[in-house]
Amino acid sequence: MYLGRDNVLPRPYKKPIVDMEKNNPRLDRFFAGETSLEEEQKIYREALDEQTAIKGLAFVAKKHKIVAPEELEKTAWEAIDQHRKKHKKAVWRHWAIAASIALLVSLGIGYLTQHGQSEAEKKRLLQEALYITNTEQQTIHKEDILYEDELIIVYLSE
Amino acid sequence: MDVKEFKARVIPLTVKIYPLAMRYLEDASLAEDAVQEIMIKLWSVRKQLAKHPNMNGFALLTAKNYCVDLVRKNKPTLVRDAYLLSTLASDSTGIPLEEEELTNYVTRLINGLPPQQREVMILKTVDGLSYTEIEALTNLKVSHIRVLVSRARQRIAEALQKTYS
Repeated sequence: MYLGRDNVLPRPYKKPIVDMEKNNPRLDRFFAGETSLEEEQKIYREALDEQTAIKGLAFVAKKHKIVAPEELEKTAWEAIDQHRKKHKKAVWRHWAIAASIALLVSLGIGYLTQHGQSEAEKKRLLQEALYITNTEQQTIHKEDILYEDELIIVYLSE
Repeated sequence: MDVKEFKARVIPLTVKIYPLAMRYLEDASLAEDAVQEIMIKLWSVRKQLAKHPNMNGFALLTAKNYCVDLVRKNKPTLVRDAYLLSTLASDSTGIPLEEEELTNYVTRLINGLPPQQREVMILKTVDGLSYTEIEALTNLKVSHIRVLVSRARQRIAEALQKTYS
């Protein structure tokens, strides 16, 4: 009669009452859940007629096993490869957009520095404007002058 | 992880991921598409994957989460129990009557196990996953999984003993 070893099986322990014909340490470990996948495959293959539980489990494994299609590994890699190519294209597109923006910005900055007025020039023009109003109307009160960015507004009255 | 290593270590996992996808999605073409998407996901995290202590478990868990999400998106009200074996009669031509009878009986016994025992039994016996892979999938400790497998095997053995003796 095959009985499990009490010290191997987890508690609460119930003695297995099938496959009891031989004292078989390998089956002991099987019922304790301690066998490796390879050992289990061997146990299933070599199940004897009287080892009903093991045979039953082996049959169930055979019947319900879901086998992946042969080409699945290949198609999976092809999907990844396609994804990689798309990703590369997207990266190149982003770089192209970034480079275009950088070029436009640098061109814009260059244009402005070449064609824009310098601070000294702006100051001179503003002084000139003030001078014109001063000659036409001698009494300009300080509160009549409004300074804004690059602009002087002088409120004149008759 | 470079292309060569990914091809050698991760791509062969399709053999384990496909049955898992089939259990959740119940459709061969959907499962194949899912495997491809899962592989793309794994490729995008290949750096973390290479350093992971339980690479197979991580890949299987990614697959499970992807399939569960897909099922929820398509049928949000129906979260099916993926770990039930079909009891429908399949083509049994050439299979001895005794084998067919025993197979169907053990299938019913497995389906009648408590949910956790049933899940680990199917993952272990039918899908052939290792304890560490099941650990990642179920979030249970290896020692606990061993106990569940042991109890399930004993329960099946006892039921068979009662019937066949």
